[in-house]
Amino acid sequence: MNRFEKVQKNVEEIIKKSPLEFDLIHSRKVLYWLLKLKPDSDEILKIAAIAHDIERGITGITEITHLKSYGDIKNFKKQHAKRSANFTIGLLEKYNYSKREILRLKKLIENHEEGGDEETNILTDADSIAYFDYIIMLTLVIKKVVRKEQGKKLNLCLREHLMKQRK
Amino acid sequence: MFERASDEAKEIIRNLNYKNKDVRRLIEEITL
Repeated sequence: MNRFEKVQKNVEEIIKKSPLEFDLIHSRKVLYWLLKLKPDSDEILKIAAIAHDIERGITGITEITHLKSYGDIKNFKKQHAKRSANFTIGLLEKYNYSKREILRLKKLIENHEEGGDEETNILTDADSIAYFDYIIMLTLVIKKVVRKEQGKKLNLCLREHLMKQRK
Repeated sequence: MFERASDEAKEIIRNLNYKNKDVRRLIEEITL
């Protein structure tokens, strides 16, 4: 197992504890889309992709349960990104990554919600595509596994959720 | 999530499973 695989195993063990069940799939999908957008992504970019939401596996803080205490969604997302960056930095220190690599990872994760420079924008894009990829996969699964009427209700809930997420 | 994506990413999202009519309808609602 190489160093990246060890980090990924560690990250996934944490993400599995997230109150949002889709977080583990999302982490893997962001990595998948990152490699589609930038096949030569290096270790730091790949770690940022798998760990950008890691804090939910540690703090359990989600928009659903804690948004009110942050005032607005922008501030909530900023604090979420900061916490995820700090937790991931702790992991990188454990695996002896250089100070330069750690600073780059910090920048990537702290800005993954808004983007910024070229490589952060790629991470943001991978995150966006992975989110919709999951929602669409879920829609197809719902269609197959639940009865028609239940499916309609769930599709309606999904649509309402998506409309709120458009920005 | 959609608005923040680049034009390239928006195009990828629009094409995800686009052949499925339910997905197509869903994507059109999201991306209009």
